[in-house]
Amino acid sequence: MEAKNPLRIMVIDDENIVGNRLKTALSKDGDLVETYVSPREAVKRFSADPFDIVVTDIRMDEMDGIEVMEAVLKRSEKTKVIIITGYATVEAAREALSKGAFDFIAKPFKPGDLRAIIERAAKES
Amino acid sequence: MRITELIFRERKNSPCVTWKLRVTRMKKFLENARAFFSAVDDGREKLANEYIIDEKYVISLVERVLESTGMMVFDACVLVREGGDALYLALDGFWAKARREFLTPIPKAAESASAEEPEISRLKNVINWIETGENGGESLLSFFRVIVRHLVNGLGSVGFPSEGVSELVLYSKAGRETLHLMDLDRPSPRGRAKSVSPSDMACRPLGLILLACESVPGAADPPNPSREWFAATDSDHVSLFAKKAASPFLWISGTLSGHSDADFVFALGKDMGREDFPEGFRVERSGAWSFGWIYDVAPEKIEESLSELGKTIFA
Repeated sequence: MEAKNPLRIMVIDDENIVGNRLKTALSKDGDLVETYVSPREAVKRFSADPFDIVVTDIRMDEMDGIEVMEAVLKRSEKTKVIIITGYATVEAAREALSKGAFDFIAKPFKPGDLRAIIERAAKES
Repeated sequence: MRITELIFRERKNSPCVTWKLRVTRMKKFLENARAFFSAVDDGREKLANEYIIDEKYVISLVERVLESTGMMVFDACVLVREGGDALYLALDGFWAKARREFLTPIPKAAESASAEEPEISRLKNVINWIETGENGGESLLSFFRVIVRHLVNGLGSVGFPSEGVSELVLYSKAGRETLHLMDLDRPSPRGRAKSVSPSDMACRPLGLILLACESVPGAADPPNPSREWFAATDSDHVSLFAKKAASPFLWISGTLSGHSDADFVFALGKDMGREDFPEGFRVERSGAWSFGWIYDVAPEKIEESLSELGKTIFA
Protein backbone atom coordinates (compact mmCIF):
# COMPACT_ATOMS: atom_id res chain seq x y z
CA MET A 1 0.00 0.00 0.00
CA GLU A 2 1.30 3.42 -0.91
CA ALA A 3 2.28 5.47 2.14
CA LYS A 4 0.40 8.70 2.54
CA ASN A 5 2.55 11.77 1.85
CA PRO A 6 2.68 13.93 4.92
CA LEU A 7 0.81 17.19 4.57
CA ARG A 8 2.60 20.46 5.13
CA ILE A 9 0.35 22.49 7.35
CA MET A 10 0.84 26.11 8.41
CA VAL A 11 -1.08 27.41 11.44
CA ILE A 12 -1.33 31.18 11.98
CA ASP A 13 -2.89 32.61 15.15
CA ASP A 14 -1.70 35.38 17.43
CA GLU A 15 -2.82 33.35 20.47
CA ASN A 16 -0.18 30.84 21.52
CA ILE A 17 -2.73 28.29 22.75
CA VAL A 18 -3.92 27.65 19.20
CA GLY A 19 -0.49 27.01 17.69
CA ASN A 20 0.76 24.99 20.65
CA ARG A 21 -2.23 22.67 20.80
CA LEU A 22 -2.64 22.25 17.07
CA LYS A 23 1.05 21.52 16.51
CA THR A 24 0.86 18.68 19.02
CA ALA A 25 -2.45 17.32 17.76
CA LEU A 26 -1.85 17.59 14.02
CA SER A 27 1.71 16.25 14.13
CA LYS A 28 0.54 12.97 15.66
CA ASP A 29 -0.54 11.70 12.26
CA GLY A 30 2.85 12.40 10.76
CA ASP A 31 2.03 15.71 9.11
CA LEU A 32 4.57 18.52 9.15
CA VAL A 33 3.21 21.47 11.09
CA GLU A 34 4.66 24.95 11.45
CA THR A 35 2.99 27.56 13.67
CA TYR A 36 3.22 31.35 13.57
CA VAL A 37 1.91 34.10 15.85
CA SER A 38 2.96 36.78 13.33
CA PRO A 39 0.92 36.71 10.12
CA ARG A 40 3.57 38.77 8.30
CA GLU A 41 6.26 36.23 9.09
CA ALA A 42 3.94 33.44 8.07
CA VAL A 43 3.18 35.05 4.71
CA LYS A 44 6.90 35.63 4.13
CA ARG A 45 7.62 31.98 4.90
CA PHE A 46 4.78 30.82 2.67
CA SER A 47 5.96 32.94 -0.23
CA ALA A 48 9.35 31.25 -0.09
CA ASP A 49 7.93 27.75 0.28
CA PRO A 50 4.17 27.13 -0.13
CA PHE A 51 2.29 24.73 2.16
CA ASP A 52 -0.54 22.34 1.34
CA ILE A 53 -2.89 23.65 4.02
CA VAL A 54 -3.01 27.02 5.81
CA VAL A 55 -5.10 27.38 8.94
CA THR A 56 -5.44 31.03 9.91
CA ASP A 57 -7.31 33.04 12.50
CA ILE A 58 -9.47 35.70 10.95
CA ARG A 59 -8.93 38.49 13.49
CA MET A 60 -5.32 39.34 14.18
CA ASP A 61 -3.82 42.71 15.05
CA GLU A 62 -0.98 42.71 12.57
CA MET A 63 -2.89 41.49 9.53
CA ASP A 64 -6.31 39.91 9.25
CA GLY A 65 -6.99 36.41 8.01
CA ILE A 66 -8.60 37.60 4.76
CA GLU A 67 -5.40 39.41 3.77
CA VAL A 68 -3.38 36.32 4.67
CA MET A 69 -5.67 34.17 2.56
CA GLU A 70 -5.44 36.51 -0.42
CA ALA A 71 -1.64 36.49 -0.22
CA VAL A 72 -1.56 32.70 0.09
CA LEU A 73 -3.89 32.03 -2.83
CA LYS A 74 -2.06 34.52 -4.99
CA ARG A 75 1.16 32.58 -4.40
CA SER A 76 -0.35 29.09 -4.61
CA GLU A 77 -3.85 28.42 -5.95
CA LYS A 78 -3.67 24.75 -4.91
CA THR A 79 -3.28 25.55 -1.21
CA LYS A 80 -6.43 25.08 0.86
CA VAL A 81 -7.10 27.83 3.40
CA ILE A 82 -9.14 27.10 6.51
CA ILE A 83 -10.33 30.04 8.59
CA ILE A 84 -10.59 30.03 12.38
CA THR A 85 -13.27 32.36 13.64
CA GLY A 86 -13.72 33.69 17.11
CA TYR A 87 -16.83 33.38 19.17
CA ALA A 88 -18.90 35.91 17.26
CA THR A 89 -17.31 36.45 13.88
CA VAL A 90 -19.15 33.89 11.78
CA GLU A 91 -20.20 36.62 9.37
CA ALA A 92 -16.56 37.33 8.66
CA ALA A 93 -16.03 33.62 8.05
CA ARG A 94 -18.78 33.66 5.44
CA GLU A 95 -17.01 36.54 3.75
CA ALA A 96 -13.83 34.46 3.73
CA LEU A 97 -15.65 31.56 2.08
CA SER A 98 -16.92 33.84 -0.66
CA LYS A 99 -13.33 34.93 -1.29
CA GLY A 100 -11.91 31.45 -1.64
CA ALA A 101 -11.51 29.85 1.79
CA PHE A 102 -12.07 26.10 1.82
CA ASP A 103 -13.95 26.04 5.10
CA PHE A 104 -14.07 27.62 8.53
CA ILE A 105 -14.17 26.44 12.12
CA ALA A 106 -15.37 28.47 15.10
CA LYS A 107 -13.66 28.59 18.50
CA PRO A 108 -13.97 26.79 20.81
CA PHE A 109 -13.24 23.61 18.86
CA LYS A 110 -11.50 20.30 19.36
CA PRO A 111 -8.35 19.56 17.35
CA GLY A 112 -10.12 16.47 16.00
CA ASP A 113 -12.78 18.65 14.40
CA LEU A 114 -10.12 20.60 12.53
CA ARG A 115 -8.38 17.37 11.56
CA ALA A 116 -11.60 16.24 9.81
CA ILE A 117 -11.70 19.45 7.75
CA ILE A 118 -8.01 19.11 6.87
CA GLU A 119 -8.58 15.55 5.67
CA ARG A 120 -11.42 16.71 3.43
CA ALA A 121 -9.23 19.49 2.09
CA ALA A 122 -6.41 17.06 1.38
CA LYS A 123 -8.74 14.74 -0.56
CA GLU A 124 -9.86 17.59 -2.79
CA SER A 125 -6.31 18.70 -3.61
CA MET B 1 -66.88 53.01 31.57
CA ARG B 2 -64.67 52.09 28.68
CA ILE B 3 -64.33 48.55 27.31
CA THR B 4 -60.63 48.36 28.30
CA GLU B 5 -61.47 49.29 31.88
CA LEU B 6 -64.08 46.53 31.97
CA ILE B 7 -61.60 43.96 30.65
CA PHE B 8 -58.74 44.93 32.95
CA ARG B 9 -61.00 45.21 35.97
CA GLU B 10 -62.24 41.71 35.27
CA ARG B 11 -58.67 40.44 34.96
CA LYS B 12 -57.56 42.12 38.14
CA ASN B 13 -60.40 40.51 40.05
CA SER B 14 -59.59 37.06 38.76
CA PRO B 15 -57.61 34.72 41.02
CA CYS B 16 -56.43 33.06 37.81
CA VAL B 17 -54.26 36.05 36.98
CA THR B 18 -52.25 35.84 40.20
CA TRP B 19 -51.67 32.13 39.74
CA LYS B 20 -50.74 32.46 36.09
CA LEU B 21 -48.22 35.13 36.97
CA ARG B 22 -46.79 33.00 39.75
CA VAL B 23 -46.42 29.95 37.53
CA THR B 24 -45.03 31.99 34.62
CA ARG B 25 -42.43 33.55 36.88
CA MET B 26 -41.48 30.17 38.34
CA LYS B 27 -41.07 28.78 34.86
CA LYS B 28 -38.84 31.72 33.97
CA PHE B 29 -36.78 30.94 37.06
CA LEU B 30 -36.29 27.37 35.84
CA GLU B 31 -35.35 28.52 32.35
CA ASN B 32 -32.71 30.79 33.83
CA ALA B 33 -31.52 28.00 36.12
CA ARG B 34 -31.18 25.78 33.08
CA ALA B 35 -29.18 28.50 31.29
CA PHE B 36 -26.91 28.80 34.33
CA PHE B 37 -26.22 25.09 34.61
CA SER B 38 -25.85 24.67 30.83
CA ALA B 39 -23.18 27.37 30.79
CA VAL B 40 -21.31 25.73 33.68
CA ASP B 41 -21.55 22.29 32.06
CA ASP B 42 -20.24 23.80 28.82
CA GLY B 43 -17.23 25.30 30.60
CA ARG B 44 -16.46 21.98 32.30
CA GLU B 45 -16.74 20.15 28.99
CA LYS B 46 -14.32 22.55 27.30
CA LEU B 47 -11.77 21.90 30.04
CA ALA B 48 -12.21 18.15 30.12
CA ASN B 49 -12.02 17.60 26.38
CA GLU B 50 -9.05 19.83 25.59
CA TYR B 51 -10.88 22.28 23.42
CA ILE B 52 -9.01 25.17 21.87
CA ILE B 53 -10.59 28.23 23.44
CA ASP B 54 -9.90 31.93 23.38
CA GLU B 55 -10.22 34.76 25.85
CA LYS B 56 -13.61 35.76 24.45
CA TYR B 57 -15.07 32.35 25.31
CA VAL B 58 -14.01 32.68 28.96
CA ILE B 59 -15.38 36.22 29.20
CA SER B 60 -18.66 35.22 27.58
CA LEU B 61 -18.99 32.26 29.98
CA VAL B 62 -18.60 34.54 32.99
CA GLU B 63 -21.17 36.95 31.56
CA ARG B 64 -23.62 34.14 30.79
CA VAL B 65 -23.54 32.68 34.30
CA LEU B 66 -23.81 36.09 35.95
CA GLU B 67 -26.64 37.22 33.69
CA SER B 68 -28.63 34.07 34.32
CA THR B 69 -27.95 34.37 38.05
CA GLY B 70 -29.20 37.96 37.90
CA MET B 71 -32.38 36.82 36.14
CA MET B 72 -32.95 34.16 38.80
CA VAL B 73 -32.58 36.78 41.53
CA PHE B 74 -35.14 38.92 39.71
CA ASP B 75 -37.55 35.98 39.32
CA ALA B 76 -37.15 34.97 42.95
CA CYS B 77 -37.76 38.53 44.16
CA VAL B 78 -40.91 38.84 42.06
CA LEU B 79 -42.21 35.63 43.63
CA VAL B 80 -41.06 36.47 47.14
CA ARG B 81 -40.41 40.16 47.69
CA GLU B 82 -39.30 40.18 51.27
CA GLY B 83 -35.56 39.79 51.73
CA GLY B 84 -34.82 40.45 48.05
CA ASP B 85 -32.43 43.33 48.74
CA ALA B 86 -29.91 40.96 50.27
CA LEU B 87 -29.93 38.86 47.11
CA TYR B 88 -29.28 41.89 44.91
CA LEU B 89 -26.47 42.99 47.21
CA ALA B 90 -24.84 39.58 46.98
CA LEU B 91 -25.25 39.60 43.19
CA ASP B 92 -23.49 42.97 43.01
CA GLY B 93 -20.61 41.42 44.93
CA PHE B 94 -20.26 38.63 42.39
CA TRP B 95 -20.25 41.10 39.49
CA ALA B 96 -17.64 43.26 41.22
CA LYS B 97 -15.35 40.26 41.67
CA ALA B 98 -15.87 39.17 38.09
CA ARG B 99 -15.00 42.63 36.77
CA ARG B 100 -11.83 42.68 38.85
CA GLU B 101 -10.60 39.20 38.05
CA PHE B 102 -12.33 37.52 35.13
CA LEU B 103 -13.66 40.16 32.75
CA THR B 104 -10.22 41.64 32.16
CA PRO B 105 -7.86 40.81 29.27
CA ILE B 106 -5.84 37.69 29.94
CA PRO B 107 -2.13 38.53 30.19
CA LYS B 108 -0.02 36.65 27.66
CA ALA B 109 2.34 34.19 29.32
CA ALA B 110 5.96 33.77 28.35
CA GLU B 111 6.63 30.91 25.97
CA SER B 112 7.28 27.69 27.81
CA ALA B 113 6.79 24.11 26.80
CA SER B 114 5.40 23.13 30.18
CA ALA B 115 3.37 26.22 31.10
CA GLU B 116 -0.39 25.95 31.02
CA GLU B 117 -2.00 28.30 28.53
CA PRO B 118 -3.33 31.43 30.26
CA GLU B 119 -6.78 30.93 28.69
CA ILE B 120 -7.02 27.47 30.26
CA SER B 121 -5.82 28.79 33.64
CA ARG B 122 -8.42 31.52 33.53
CA LEU B 123 -11.17 29.03 32.62
CA LYS B 124 -10.13 26.76 35.50
CA ASN B 125 -10.27 29.70 37.88
CA VAL B 126 -13.71 30.67 36.62
CA ILE B 127 -15.10 27.13 37.03
CA ASN B 128 -13.55 26.96 40.49
CA TRP B 129 -15.13 30.29 41.43
CA ILE B 130 -18.54 29.14 40.17
CA GLU B 131 -18.44 25.74 41.88
CA THR B 132 -16.47 26.09 45.07
CA GLY B 133 -15.68 29.76 45.62
CA GLU B 134 -12.21 31.02 46.38
CA ASN B 135 -10.42 31.44 49.71
CA GLY B 136 -13.53 30.49 51.64
CA GLY B 137 -15.73 32.91 49.72
CA GLU B 138 -19.17 32.03 48.45
CA SER B 139 -19.49 30.25 45.14
CA LEU B 140 -22.14 31.01 42.55
CA LEU B 141 -23.49 27.51 43.05
CA SER B 142 -23.98 28.08 46.77
CA PHE B 143 -25.60 31.43 45.93
CA PHE B 144 -28.05 29.55 43.69
CA ARG B 145 -29.01 27.50 46.74
CA VAL B 146 -29.46 30.71 48.75
CA ILE B 147 -31.90 31.90 46.08
CA VAL B 148 -33.80 28.62 46.33
CA ARG B 149 -33.99 28.98 50.13
CA HIS B 150 -35.34 32.50 49.64
CA LEU B 151 -38.10 31.04 47.44
CA VAL B 152 -38.90 28.20 49.82
CA ASN B 153 -39.11 30.48 52.85
CA GLY B 154 -41.54 32.70 50.96
CA LEU B 155 -43.75 29.86 49.74
CA GLY B 156 -44.98 29.28 53.28
CA SER B 157 -47.17 32.37 52.91
CA VAL B 158 -49.00 31.17 49.79
CA GLY B 159 -52.75 31.72 50.08
CA PHE B 160 -55.30 29.67 48.14
CA PRO B 161 -58.33 31.22 46.43
CA SER B 162 -61.76 29.91 47.36
CA GLU B 163 -63.69 31.36 44.40
CA GLY B 164 -64.28 29.35 41.26
CA VAL B 165 -62.55 26.28 42.65
CA SER B 166 -63.76 22.76 41.93
CA GLU B 167 -63.12 19.77 44.12
CA LEU B 168 -61.98 16.30 43.28
CA VAL B 169 -61.88 13.55 45.88
CA LEU B 170 -59.65 10.59 45.24
CA TYR B 171 -59.42 7.36 47.16
CA SER B 172 -55.95 5.94 46.93
CA LYS B 173 -54.09 3.24 48.77
CA ALA B 174 -52.40 5.96 50.77
CA GLY B 175 -55.65 7.54 51.91
CA ARG B 176 -58.26 10.01 50.80
CA GLU B 177 -56.94 12.96 48.84
CA THR B 178 -58.79 16.18 48.22
CA LEU B 179 -57.75 18.15 45.17
CA HIS B 180 -58.95 21.73 44.91
CA LEU B 181 -58.87 22.60 41.23
CA MET B 182 -58.71 25.96 39.53
CA ASP B 183 -59.11 26.13 35.76
CA LEU B 184 -56.63 28.68 34.41
CA ASP B 185 -58.34 28.71 31.02
CA ARG B 186 -61.32 30.49 32.52
CA PRO B 187 -60.39 34.11 33.13
CA SER B 188 -63.31 34.87 35.42
CA PRO B 189 -64.60 31.88 37.35
CA ARG B 190 -68.11 32.45 38.59
CA GLY B 191 -68.84 31.04 42.01
CA ARG B 192 -67.86 27.60 43.25
CA ALA B 193 -67.89 24.89 40.61
CA LYS B 194 -69.27 21.41 41.25
CA SER B 195 -67.15 18.42 42.06
CA VAL B 196 -65.40 16.79 39.12
CA SER B 197 -64.27 13.29 38.35
CA PRO B 198 -60.85 12.35 36.93
CA SER B 199 -62.43 11.71 33.54
CA ASP B 200 -63.54 15.34 33.43
CA MET B 201 -59.92 16.48 33.63
CA ALA B 202 -58.79 17.80 30.27
CA CYS B 203 -55.40 18.68 31.68
CA ARG B 204 -52.94 16.02 30.53
CA PRO B 205 -50.23 16.66 33.09
CA LEU B 206 -52.68 16.37 35.98
CA GLY B 207 -54.33 13.39 34.32
CA LEU B 208 -50.96 11.64 34.22
CA ILE B 209 -50.29 12.37 37.89
CA LEU B 210 -53.72 11.02 38.81
CA LEU B 211 -53.10 7.79 36.88
CA ALA B 212 -51.06 6.62 39.83
CA CYS B 213 -54.03 7.06 42.14
CA GLU B 214 -56.48 4.20 41.82
CA SER B 215 -59.84 4.04 43.49
CA VAL B 216 -59.94 1.31 46.08
CA PRO B 217 -63.19 -0.62 45.57
CA GLY B 218 -65.45 -0.80 48.60
CA ALA B 219 -63.27 1.54 50.60
CA ALA B 220 -64.95 3.31 53.52
CA ASP B 221 -64.97 7.08 53.37
CA PRO B 222 -62.17 8.22 55.71
CA PRO B 223 -63.28 11.35 57.56
CA ASN B 224 -60.10 13.31 57.03
CA PRO B 225 -57.94 13.67 53.93
CA SER B 226 -54.39 12.38 54.36
CA ARG B 227 -53.10 15.40 52.46
CA GLU B 228 -54.74 18.22 50.56
CA TRP B 229 -53.65 19.66 47.27
CA PHE B 230 -54.40 22.75 45.25
CA ALA B 231 -54.05 22.41 41.49
CA ALA B 232 -54.05 25.25 38.96
CA THR B 233 -54.53 23.74 35.52
CA ASP B 234 -55.12 24.41 31.87
CA SER B 235 -55.08 22.07 28.88
CA ASP B 236 -51.35 21.32 28.92
CA HIS B 237 -50.11 22.50 32.27
CA VAL B 238 -50.56 21.80 35.99
CA SER B 239 -49.20 23.41 39.13
CA LEU B 240 -49.83 21.32 42.21
CA PHE B 241 -49.33 22.79 45.67
CA ALA B 242 -49.49 20.94 48.96
CA LYS B 243 -51.79 22.67 51.40
CA LYS B 244 -50.54 20.63 54.31
CA ALA B 245 -46.99 20.49 55.57
CA ALA B 246 -46.82 16.70 55.82
CA SER B 247 -46.30 16.08 52.12
CA PRO B 248 -43.33 14.72 50.23
CA PHE B 249 -43.56 17.56 47.75
CA LEU B 250 -44.54 21.15 48.35
CA TRP B 251 -44.88 22.21 44.73
CA ILE B 252 -44.95 20.38 41.41
CA SER B 253 -45.36 22.07 38.04
CA GLY B 254 -45.35 20.44 34.65
CA THR B 255 -46.31 21.06 31.05
CA LEU B 256 -46.96 18.71 28.15
CA SER B 257 -47.57 20.90 25.14
CA GLY B 258 -45.48 18.77 22.77
CA HIS B 259 -42.89 21.51 22.33
CA SER B 260 -39.80 19.81 23.70
CA ASP B 261 -37.95 23.01 24.47
CA ALA B 262 -40.88 24.45 26.40
CA ASP B 263 -42.04 21.38 28.31
CA PHE B 264 -40.71 20.88 31.77
CA VAL B 265 -41.40 19.24 35.10
CA PHE B 266 -40.36 20.82 38.37
CA ALA B 267 -40.72 19.45 41.89
CA LEU B 268 -39.80 21.00 45.24
CA GLY B 269 -39.65 18.57 48.12
CA LYS B 270 -38.57 18.44 51.73
CA ASP B 271 -36.18 15.80 53.10
CA MET B 272 -36.03 14.20 49.67
CA GLY B 273 -32.96 12.57 48.23
CA ARG B 274 -32.05 12.27 44.56
CA GLU B 275 -33.57 8.78 44.55
CA ASP B 276 -36.98 10.28 45.36
CA PHE B 277 -37.06 12.16 42.08
CA PRO B 278 -37.78 10.46 38.75
CA GLU B 279 -34.77 9.45 36.70
CA GLY B 280 -33.22 12.21 34.64
CA PHE B 281 -34.08 15.06 36.99
CA ARG B 282 -31.43 17.59 37.81
CA VAL B 283 -31.59 17.91 41.61
CA GLU B 284 -30.06 20.62 43.75
CA ARG B 285 -30.29 20.62 47.54
CA SER B 286 -30.60 23.65 49.73
CA GLY B 287 -30.76 22.81 53.41
CA ALA B 288 -33.65 20.39 53.92
CA TRP B 289 -35.17 21.25 50.54
CA SER B 290 -34.53 19.54 47.23
CA PHE B 291 -35.27 21.27 43.97
CA GLY B 292 -35.49 19.04 40.93
CA TRP B 293 -36.38 19.64 37.30
CA ILE B 294 -36.18 18.33 33.77
CA TYR B 295 -36.38 20.30 30.57
CA ASP B 296 -36.16 19.77 26.87
CA VAL B 297 -36.80 16.03 26.88
CA ALA B 298 -39.10 13.85 24.79
CA PRO B 299 -42.82 13.94 25.67
CA GLU B 300 -42.64 10.27 26.70
CA LYS B 301 -40.06 11.17 29.33
CA ILE B 302 -42.28 13.98 30.62
CA GLU B 303 -45.20 11.54 30.87
CA GLU B 304 -43.13 8.94 32.70
CA SER B 305 -41.83 11.55 35.12
CA LEU B 306 -45.28 12.87 35.92
CA SER B 307 -46.59 9.36 36.55
CA GLU B 308 -43.64 8.61 38.85
CA LEU B 309 -44.32 11.77 40.83
CA GLY B 310 -47.96 10.76 41.05
CA LYS B 311 -47.01 7.38 42.48
CA THR B 312 -44.80 9.05 45.08
CA ILE B 313 -47.63 11.32 46.18
CA PHE B 314 -50.74 9.27 45.89
CA ALA B 315 -49.93 5.57 45.75
